[in-house]
Amino acid sequence: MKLVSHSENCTGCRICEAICSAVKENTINPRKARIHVVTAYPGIVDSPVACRQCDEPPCVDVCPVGALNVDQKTKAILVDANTCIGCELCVNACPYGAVTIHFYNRKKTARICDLCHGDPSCVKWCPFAAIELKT
Amino acid sequence: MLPNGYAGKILRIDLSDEKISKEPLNMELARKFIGGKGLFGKILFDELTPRIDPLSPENMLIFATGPLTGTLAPSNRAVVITKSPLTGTFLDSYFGGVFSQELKFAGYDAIIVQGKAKDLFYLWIDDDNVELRSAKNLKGMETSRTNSRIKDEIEDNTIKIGCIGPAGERLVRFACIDFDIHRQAGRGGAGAVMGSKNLKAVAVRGTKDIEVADLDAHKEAVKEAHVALKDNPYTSLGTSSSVSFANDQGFFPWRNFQDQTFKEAEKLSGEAQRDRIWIKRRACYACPIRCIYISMLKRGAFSGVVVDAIEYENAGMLGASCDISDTEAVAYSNYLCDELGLDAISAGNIVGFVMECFQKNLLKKEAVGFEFKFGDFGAQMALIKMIAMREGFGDVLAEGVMRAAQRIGKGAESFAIHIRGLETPAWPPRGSPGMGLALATSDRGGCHQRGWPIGYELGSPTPYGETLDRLTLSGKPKIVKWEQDFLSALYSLVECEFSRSMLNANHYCKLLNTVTGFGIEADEYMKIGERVWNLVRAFNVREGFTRVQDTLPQRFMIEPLPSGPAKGHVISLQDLNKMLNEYYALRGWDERGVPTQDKLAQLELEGVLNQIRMEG
Repeated sequence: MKLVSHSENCTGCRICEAICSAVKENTINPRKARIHVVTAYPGIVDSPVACRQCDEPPCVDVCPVGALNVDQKTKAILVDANTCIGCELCVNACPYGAVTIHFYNRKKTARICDLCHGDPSCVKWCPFAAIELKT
Repeated sequence: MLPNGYAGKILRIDLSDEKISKEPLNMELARKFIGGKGLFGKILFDELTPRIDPLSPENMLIFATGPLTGTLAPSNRAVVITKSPLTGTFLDSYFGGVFSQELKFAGYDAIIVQGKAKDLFYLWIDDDNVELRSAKNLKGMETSRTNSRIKDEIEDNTIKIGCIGPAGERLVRFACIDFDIHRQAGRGGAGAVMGSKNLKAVAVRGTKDIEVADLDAHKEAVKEAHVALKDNPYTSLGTSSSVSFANDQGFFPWRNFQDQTFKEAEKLSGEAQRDRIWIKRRACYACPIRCIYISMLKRGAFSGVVVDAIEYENAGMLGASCDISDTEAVAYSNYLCDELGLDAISAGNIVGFVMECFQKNLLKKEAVGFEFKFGDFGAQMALIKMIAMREGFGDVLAEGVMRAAQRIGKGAESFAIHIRGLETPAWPPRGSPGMGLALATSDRGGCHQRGWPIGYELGSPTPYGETLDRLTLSGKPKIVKWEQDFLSALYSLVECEFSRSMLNANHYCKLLNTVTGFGIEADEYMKIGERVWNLVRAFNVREGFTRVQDTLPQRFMIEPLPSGPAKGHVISLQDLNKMLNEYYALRGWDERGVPTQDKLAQLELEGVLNQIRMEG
């Protein structure tokens, strides 16, 4: 199971970010999303970027406390917020820039797309099919 | 942040003593006026000293959001509110993009700017930290360079910026404000007000959460709106989809509105643009309409330039009104306006006017510096630069078409196409009496966005189920009133009018209620709109505008339309007066166009009443 971006369809509207924050964080704040639209100046290229579920995920390897684990069913990376120490090693390890750090209960925690457990909201909400779920 | 879509806070900047303060939003007022045009129009009405010079430090410049800004709601926008240096009336100028949402995420419903800074500054808002920074190194810079330079300075290319170009700094009366990037608060000269305050730009980074009253219900309401917005006409070709329609129906302004059809309109249509220049579609924040097209010029002298698509209005004003049909040339002139910070509608109108001055031998080569004929796009581009820089004759034109015509004299006023000083856009009213009334009574002057009855006159049934005949006067005042009320509420939410062709008041109420919890139904929505329209009318009455100024350019009233389906049509003074009488009566205004005591009381605008009574 994988999220695939079709940047030629992306309008840069960031509804994927907004709905991600609504679904995963119960608020509206694109900066807390697990998917981000990367825009190349001056808006000629927009592309949604999220975790690509690498076969050998470097973020999982690099985590010093074992807070990241691969979901056997979806292959998504799951973050154990209680174990995560917010060291940002996974952020640096990800070759796609798909890991972000945010505060949960005042504690820095890694945030990675978990594919909404196989039914991603961003795919359903994108008006122009710029994000596709490949199984 | 409040749990109802509002940030709950207003940021106030006094540039004269470089004072920054924050104050809570008055929620009682917000319930009554919602946001945007309504809520911040009320604040402008209450706080602005009547009859001040719009370019003096006393004027206020308000960057305002609405409760829907930044939520999941489709097509949410924001507005700049001030007193217009072009018309002297109330001015609300809307813009899309991503700036206003960032402002809300930073924790503010609005920024109110007053005073005048001693040097050129820009405002940097980083959530709670707000500071004024020197903009000396940005002086004279075009909009996109200003934008990227500030991003370099802050070392974050995700921040959002609104700025003025050289035209705003030089107080060109129709300068616009450019928001991240080339989304304009275009009409009426808000950029000149910003320039008069020595404020070059506002940069924002917002990282906070927006809370809505009922997130699950909000998601449902937005989903429903997304379904309704599918197959929106703007989704396929943007606003340029209107070019062929307007030309076929006789609304496309040729040669400074001398006629209303253009033989070469096809070259400016969406289809032609798609084949020649469009490369990428874009959308404002969370909007499923995606009306924006990024374009690249691939032919001739302008090859390689990345520009915005030619919007309908620019095709009409920079193109047809100047008799220019070269796709690349019009797109490049549009780009010049964006970069220099000019309202492209007013700029196109003025260039067309100058061309007609040459056609009529009222201006000579010596006065302007070069020969100036309809169709000469080289001259158009040179003139746009001269206006923005206030060089030579450009200094006269930078005052707007009304003042320029007065300076030129010799009867030039008779073909200066403006209403109350605002250059008329590419929806001329011959062939549509309703459009004539909508333009004549528009609160900010020559503007097509305060009511667009053309669709109803061409056969769409009105929202209350009547059908109208195109060229008669019957039913026109009623539909104009309905449009103005409906849109005033829409502009208070603040939602984009491009969404309204598919969404109705019930959709908007649902979006609004799931965010705010207000429980507003369609009836109250229309009443809020009427309240806001009356508030703004009262503002303009206080500034000295009454029936005398509710009029149309002479050309539309005495020169019969030369061609098209409505050939021979004019909106005579008699017709206009007849419509105005009926319109004022429907509005509950007196015969001078002043809201009556009863009407204002009924709309709960008692404080407003005392103000206009004082003005007599």
